[in-house]
Amino acid sequence: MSKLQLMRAGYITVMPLMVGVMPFGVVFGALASAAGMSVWEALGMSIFVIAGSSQFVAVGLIADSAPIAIIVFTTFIINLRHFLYSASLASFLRPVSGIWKAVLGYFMIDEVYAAVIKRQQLGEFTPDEFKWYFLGGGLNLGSLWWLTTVVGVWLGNVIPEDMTTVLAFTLPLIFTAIVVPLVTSSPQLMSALSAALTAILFAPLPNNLNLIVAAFVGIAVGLMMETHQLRRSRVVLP
Amino acid sequence: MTIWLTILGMAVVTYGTRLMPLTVVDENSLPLWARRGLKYVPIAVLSAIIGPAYIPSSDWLAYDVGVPLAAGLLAIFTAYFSQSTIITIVVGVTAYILLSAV
Repeated sequence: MSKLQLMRAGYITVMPLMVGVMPFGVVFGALASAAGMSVWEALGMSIFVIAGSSQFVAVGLIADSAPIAIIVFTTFIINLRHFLYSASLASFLRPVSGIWKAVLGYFMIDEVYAAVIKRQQLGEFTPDEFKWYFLGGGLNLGSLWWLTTVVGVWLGNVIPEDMTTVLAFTLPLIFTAIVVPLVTSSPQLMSALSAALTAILFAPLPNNLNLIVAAFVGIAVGLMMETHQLRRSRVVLP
Repeated sequence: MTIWLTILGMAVVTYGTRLMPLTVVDENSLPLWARRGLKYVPIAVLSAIIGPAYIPSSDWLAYDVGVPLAAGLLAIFTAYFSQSTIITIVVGVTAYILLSAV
């Protein structure tokens, strides 16, 4: 595939996620405006931070006149999971140039990562192909996030609340459609179930900390199960 | 001005978090268990995001799970058997709307 075709493939891959991202952007713009932010400030946050849930929390804190250090630290905690995304791709993307790493790091957000990771895990791309595919997906959802932020600031929340709830529900549905086919072994299944259960039980923790705890539990459970299986198979097959 | 400083701070910590592993982590210097563990990142993190969407704490703290869980379980089965994102969304959203209306 040519570079353009790869970008288009990435662009198309993330398209179902547009439905879920759109209302979030509009609601974010409306909340930012209500918190006293100008259209430039709201758009600036969506361009320079480009991280949905942390932006919502930050706007709430800005409305409460919280100190900058608190807002920045909270953002850091909420977005820590992106560290894992990036780390999981680090070895695969090693051959890619520094500028490309800077670009792909910028788009390392939940929705883009979730959408593009499947074909990477299935080994369908070389790193040089994957970077264009990733960029196509990132440009789609990134530009949508910027655009809907502005719409939200200008028009307020034009999407009825009932509809926002339904549209927002498409995101976990799409993540489900991505994760289920990735689960092909029992360690992977236990990893998925333990991570989901941990995230549910720890949900009352502040700043999405449940996601970090759950990620590490899920990884640890997967590793332990895998090791257990390896040991057992070694006993059976000397 | 304060808001722009806030945005700058947020941007630095967020972008740093996303960029650092890509540029700094040398795979070969990582122990084997860490390399194996990173393979579980997509499944573990995405499952962690999905779980509370289907069973929100507001629900289970009130001993009341319902519509999102039913729609979510249906979506899991649909994803397993159809292997299709679009069909999964359509089934999940339809179930969510219909069950909410009941």
